[in-house]
Amino acid sequence: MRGKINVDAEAIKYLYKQYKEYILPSFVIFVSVILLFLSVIPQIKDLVNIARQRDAELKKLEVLKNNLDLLSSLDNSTLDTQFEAITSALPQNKDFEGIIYAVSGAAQRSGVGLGDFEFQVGDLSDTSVASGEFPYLSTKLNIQASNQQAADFITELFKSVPLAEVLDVSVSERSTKLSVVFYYKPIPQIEINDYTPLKKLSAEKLELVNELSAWKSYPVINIQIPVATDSSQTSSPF
Amino acid sequence: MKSDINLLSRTKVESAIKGRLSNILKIISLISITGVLFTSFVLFILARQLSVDSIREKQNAVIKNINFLKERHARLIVSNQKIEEISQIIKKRAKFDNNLRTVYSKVPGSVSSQSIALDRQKISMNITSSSLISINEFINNFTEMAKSKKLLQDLTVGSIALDPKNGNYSLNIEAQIL
Repeated sequence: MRGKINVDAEAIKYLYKQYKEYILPSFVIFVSVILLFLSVIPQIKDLVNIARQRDAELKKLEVLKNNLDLLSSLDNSTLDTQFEAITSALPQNKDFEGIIYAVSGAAQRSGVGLGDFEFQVGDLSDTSVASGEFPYLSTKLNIQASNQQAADFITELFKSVPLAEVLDVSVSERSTKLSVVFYYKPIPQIEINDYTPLKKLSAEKLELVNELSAWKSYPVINIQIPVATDSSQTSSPF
Repeated sequence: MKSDINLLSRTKVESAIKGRLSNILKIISLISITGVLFTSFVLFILARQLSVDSIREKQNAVIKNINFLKERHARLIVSNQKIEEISQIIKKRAKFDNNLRTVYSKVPGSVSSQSIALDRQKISMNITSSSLISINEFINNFTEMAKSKKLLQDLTVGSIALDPKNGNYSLNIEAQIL
């Protein structure tokens, strides 16, 4: 038969007397361990998170400062000139005047005679563009040129603004017919995000911009843009 | 008597051991609670030092300055975007001028090109000449181009016709553009 353990006040008093020197320190150690797990370790985790957050915010600050430095260093007039050259090459809208100047200029520089040409306007209200495509205005050109002169005309046309692309060429003995498209693209809604790193135009892009400026500044002599005198005789492409 | 002496020494020993244990426990408890409290305090101070609030304030100050240059900001973004698009257009343009020059360079002097129709995919040419030798040279030149995959492939040579009025031979060729 097992011995009975009698737990009563006397027993507790006895145990307390026997072990009172150990009770308080043990309790303090116990509380320390609890505090370690409940307070210190979570604080360490928080500190690690705060350090990571701080790094991320410092990087963002760096980007912002770089952006500000870049924007402050830009010269307004240079930026305007570049912007003008770029938007001449790829205008926001169908640039009929620009196209007439481009075609006439190319004809003059290549020494060909320019016959009639027509614009295929399309839906004026249509500004939607499939992703990755560029909207364009189609034209049919008729030039008095054959063989080598036709090639020269195309070369000069490729150095004009707005940007043109030839779709097909039909050369006969004395004349050449070309289907040419002139590109344009409306400026989309821009969402300016201050935290996105800004880039200057690279050297390669600057070279292209300079080229476009040169194309834009080719002189064109004696070009008359047709002006409608009355509605029945309008030569406007509309 | 012997057992009394033994009893006395055992009690002392036990009491000494108890005392040492008690001291050790006291020291450990003191160290542990001090350590935990001190560590917690240090971590608290560190967390305050590493606070991101000051960095965010600096960010806001920079953003305020950037906002004064919003127009430049927009122009730079648009310029970068558009020049990239312009570059794409220029790269993908078919080089019709070079293609025409390449074709003309292969047409012998005594051959007259009546018509050339050229687009991105194919070329079709009508030529005339009074000399069959020249026509032969023309065919050889274009065959060579097609063989060496220079501009052309899949060359189709039509039949040669003779116009008895002027004695000229005419020929039509078609080919795929590479």
